[in-house]
Amino acid sequence: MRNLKILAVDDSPTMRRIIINTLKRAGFSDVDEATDGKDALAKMQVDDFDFIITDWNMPEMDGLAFVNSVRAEDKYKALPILMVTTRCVKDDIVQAMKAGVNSYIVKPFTPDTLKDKIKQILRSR
Amino acid sequence: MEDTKDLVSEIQGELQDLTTSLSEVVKSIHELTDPIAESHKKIPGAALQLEKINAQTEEAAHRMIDKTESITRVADEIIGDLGKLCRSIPAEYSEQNPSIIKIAKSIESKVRQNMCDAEVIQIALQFQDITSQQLSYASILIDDIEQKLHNLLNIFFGEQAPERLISLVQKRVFDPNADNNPNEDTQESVDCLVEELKNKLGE
Repeated sequence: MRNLKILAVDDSPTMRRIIINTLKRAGFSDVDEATDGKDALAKMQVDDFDFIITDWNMPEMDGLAFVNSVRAEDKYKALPILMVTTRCVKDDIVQAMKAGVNSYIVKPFTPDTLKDKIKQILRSR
Repeated sequence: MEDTKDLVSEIQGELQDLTTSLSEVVKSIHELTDPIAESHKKIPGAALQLEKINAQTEEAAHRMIDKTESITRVADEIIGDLGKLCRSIPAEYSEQNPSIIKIAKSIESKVRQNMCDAEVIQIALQFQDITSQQLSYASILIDDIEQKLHNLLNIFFGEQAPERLISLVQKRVFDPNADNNPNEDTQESVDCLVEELKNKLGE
């Protein structure tokens, strides 16, 4: 589990550093980052990732469009995706789940919530 | 002839009144439009100020993260060195001096506590992203006010109205409801909804 290659997608450099450091403290040392959905898709063309953590509100391509694009490809149907966002309105969560997100975290999050959700998603696969 | 003179004088009087009252109207329009034009001019300053606050909080957050990373790195090194130290103590010596291992364990526990505190500080810095989204929303509102003031100036001055100020607001996507202090049970409610949806969607 600790050898997972994770992609953290967020337009905020502060959030990317926080997420990456939290993951590293939890033992996930192989983490790459992307600034938005478009950047993430480009990175996925060159690298294989085992787990995606994505924000929703991002320029160029937002998290929802990104998840839709990822799920549109057969090879990514089972790729675990965790959405980490400030959006916590019911309709948003419904949209995200319909798009194919595996779980959903509301910012600001705690390190335990992030670790638990990753474990939970991996256990259910 | 007298009647005509009276009429001319009456018309002159009316025209004089009209001129005076038009001057008053012009004065009132100026009294109204000058503050609008003044406010209109101040908009870019307000938008820039928000951008500046955003950039400064981002910079401060990164400096704090640098510090917490450094604390964590040093703490890791101390724990590693303590381990080496404990392993290098001959068993006989530690049996005769049990307090040595006890002290080492106490130091390790305190260092681990420091690491946890550093993580708490770092996690709290999520406020920067959330505040940044709130500032972006405020910038959009300012932009909207500028548009409305510009529309008013257009009504009064037509083509002579000052030009629409090119928005200095850095366009950023944001959640207008981003909140630094969501309810304690927000994540719990989200989890319940996610589970419910998973069952419905048949995962």
